Amino acid sequence: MSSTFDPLIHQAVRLRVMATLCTLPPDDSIDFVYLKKLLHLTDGNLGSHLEKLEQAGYLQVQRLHAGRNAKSLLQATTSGRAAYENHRRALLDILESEGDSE
Amino acid sequence: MTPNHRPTPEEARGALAMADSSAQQVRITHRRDIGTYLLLWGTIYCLVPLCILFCPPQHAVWLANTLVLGGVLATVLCWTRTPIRSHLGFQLGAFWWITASFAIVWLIILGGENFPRFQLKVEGRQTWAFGITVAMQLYLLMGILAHSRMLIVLGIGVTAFTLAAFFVAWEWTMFWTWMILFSGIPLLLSGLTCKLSLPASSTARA
Repeated sequence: MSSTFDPLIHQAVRLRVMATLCTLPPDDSIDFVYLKKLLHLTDGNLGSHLEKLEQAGYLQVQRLHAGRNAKSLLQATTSGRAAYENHRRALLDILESEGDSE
Repeated sequence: MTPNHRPTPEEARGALAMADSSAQQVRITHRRDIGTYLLLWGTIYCLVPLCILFCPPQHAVWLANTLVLGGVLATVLCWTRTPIRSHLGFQLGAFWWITASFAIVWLIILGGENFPRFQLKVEGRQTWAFGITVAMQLYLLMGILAHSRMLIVLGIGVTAFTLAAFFVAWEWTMFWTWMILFSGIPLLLSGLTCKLSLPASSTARA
């Protein structure tokens, strides 16, 4: 399987977002507020990174409106999972090649 | 970072550590979520037999039904509040409740006066053994689909012990005590383990 380094995912916050979402089973989603607390981010900061990932087709956001409380649920898409796996493999390849060169 | 930038080994190591740490944290949350349900139902599986054993019969059934209904409502409440929404869990749970409710309604119909050939005399032990073994099939199914060894072991183990209690523990007190020991307490202990301990390895799933 080919490993592709993905600059979009490599950014620290987006990498952690994708790692979090891709750890869950494919049909599971995660609450925006929980993710914000988990990654110690502000609404705006996390929102801007999520927008980039959503535009790339790596995640989908489901917006629920229950009374006054709006709730956003985030889920990694199939292509997002594949991109994250490839990126992770690329990082491992870098470490392996370092081991080979020593 | 430019598109053609290739991380150094140090950067790659740091990025992987960061990703693993986030993955680990969400696994712990997921595991603790499962622990909540196990603690809830473990408590109910202990309290219902205690009610049957120590409350007057006219109150015991009413209390037991209230406890089970309360458990169902609490489960739904927990599901709506959990930060991780399991769609598989919701679909399986809904399917299970519809099937189990249908089975119970069907038993009542078959056991009614309109169907004397199939008239059933259901007593407390049968109802409880039926309820627990059917519930454990949900655990087993979820364990298989979510690759959770703990749920698979609980599903098979509690079913086996419940059947053993039903066929071996003839004496009334022994049956209900057995149910506390081999259905309520295992669920409570599994729930506590999920709530308190960390995953054994980074690849472990709840």
